[in-house]
Amino acid sequence: MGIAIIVLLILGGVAAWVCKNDKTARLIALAVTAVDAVLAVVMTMNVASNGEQVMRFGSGFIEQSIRIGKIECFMACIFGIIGFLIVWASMSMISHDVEERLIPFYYFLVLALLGTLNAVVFFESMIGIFVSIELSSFAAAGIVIVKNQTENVHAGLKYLSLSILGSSLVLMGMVLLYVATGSLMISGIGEVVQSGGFMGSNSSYVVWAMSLITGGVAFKAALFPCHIWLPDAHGTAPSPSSATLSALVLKAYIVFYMKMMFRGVGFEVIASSGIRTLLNVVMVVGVVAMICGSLLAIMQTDIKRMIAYSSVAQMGYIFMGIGIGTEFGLFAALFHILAHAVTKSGLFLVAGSIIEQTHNRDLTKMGGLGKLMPITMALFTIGGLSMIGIPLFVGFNSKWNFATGIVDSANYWLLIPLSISALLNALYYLPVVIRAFFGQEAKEMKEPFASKERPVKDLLPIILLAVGVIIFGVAAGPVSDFLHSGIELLTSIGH
Amino acid sequence: MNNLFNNYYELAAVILFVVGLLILLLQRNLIKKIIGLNIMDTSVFLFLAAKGYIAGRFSPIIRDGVTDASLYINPLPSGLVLTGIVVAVSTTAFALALALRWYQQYHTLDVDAAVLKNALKKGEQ
Repeated sequence: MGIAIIVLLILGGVAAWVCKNDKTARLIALAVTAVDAVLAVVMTMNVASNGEQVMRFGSGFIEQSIRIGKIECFMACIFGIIGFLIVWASMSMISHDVEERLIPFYYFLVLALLGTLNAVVFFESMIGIFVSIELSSFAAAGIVIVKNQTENVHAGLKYLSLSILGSSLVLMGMVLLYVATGSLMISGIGEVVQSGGFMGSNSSYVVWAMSLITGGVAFKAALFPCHIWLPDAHGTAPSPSSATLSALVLKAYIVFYMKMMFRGVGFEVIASSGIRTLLNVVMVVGVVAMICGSLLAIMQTDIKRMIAYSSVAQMGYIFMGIGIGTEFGLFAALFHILAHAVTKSGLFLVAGSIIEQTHNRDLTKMGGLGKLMPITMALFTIGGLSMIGIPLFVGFNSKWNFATGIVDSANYWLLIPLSISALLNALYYLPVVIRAFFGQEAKEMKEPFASKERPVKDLLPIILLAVGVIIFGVAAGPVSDFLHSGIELLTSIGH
Repeated sequence: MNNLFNNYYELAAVILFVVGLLILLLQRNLIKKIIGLNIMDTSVFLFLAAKGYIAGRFSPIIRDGVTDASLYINPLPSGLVLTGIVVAVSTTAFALALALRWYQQYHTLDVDAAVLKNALKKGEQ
């Protein structure tokens, strides 16, 4: 089933590209992502009732293994369903940003990106993971550059070179692990590393390898000091691309890192070796990212750059959860992947709608916008409140999980940055909302505000995302249970 | 110290990696940046190849029907190098294509000059 999803997305992308007609390309993309979402849900139900699916093919060097447990299904559902909603929203938005002749190519890149992201999550063999990571960064740089403006080329080059730097570091780390353990499978590495006595003599190998992989993932997933490409790339890309990039692309690398850390090295070895120090560093850097990302976001006047810096802060939360290094911390990080994906894709699509209708990206000139675009601004409000962590929205559950994770691991000082960061989130989302609904200053300015609401049928996917924010905020129980049982599979070497 | 000299391949790889990284980050010319990227990739391949080599053994091609694995070097890192080279070539092509687009838009390959031009253009508007 996993293979079917990857192949379907990539072949669908090729079909969209070959058809050369932008209307057909859109329909193909919509149909393919819809089928992908259905397949992902079916696969999840299958795995939930029958247990893990493992597939091996080839032998020796080319031996590849795909192992799909519950967390992989969870990610496949996020990629499938949110990817479908973003593609649906892009139907009416994309022609605003991308030339007509490039639209088939754009949908090829989007579908190929979704396919390779699924591959990054599904593969268990290093070669498969490395190749998928590289392909996904090409496609991700592609959907930034496709807008064909000077800033995009600039942002794309920056993104590409830093991505390559990240994957070089990851490759070096993989090789060190291979040399130390003799295995190219994550669970094979786990068997060797977690067997008694190995860490005694080879500890420095594993610590170095994991440090290199951490450095690489920090670049790929925009952990704070390595985030410099993110605001440019996410801020200048076409809005549906920004939504895909920040909701889905960053998350695939995080899941790879979680698997390396918690399946390859394992909780017990982490607690008793130098890896604990490495994770402490990750935790502290994550905290710094939470605070600094928000501070940088407050300083922005461009709406998309503000949301992009907010992503930097949210990635800080996820890395902090990984850095806590307990089952609760891991659970909180995984839940935040869902929370951030649902909320941030909605926010970017709303920002895209605002820019499309008003041709204005400047936050200070958005006063009174709530009266002209009530539904759009209501959706922005839902997203903003969720990011701040108001109860009834998914962001609150996520923050609650982090707080329980922190208390569980007895790192009580982390509660202080967690609450400061929530406050800082409020400092940059609420002024936009307040100015939009209660501000008057823009009433006199005719030109950029001579605009109206977009038709509801175009806004429907964003409304569905907002409904998702509220559903997961009110009833997170089933997802939490699923994730808790998934973590057992994620961390077990098995098979 | 002795360890460093015994593992001089790895040492060279790390030095090359840092050289490439510094070129990538500090040079202002785009083509030089791409060359830095290539040096960085190459250092990873040197590292890989060095890790796969075992002194005194043959390349992993069966000779005279001898299939005893202890006579041959480990082929897996070499295979990884091949994969890596393919990826590096496509990266370079992608980056060069972007540099070309960059040049068409800014008429310069210097990053700072291009950013300056962009800022001036925005100022004029």
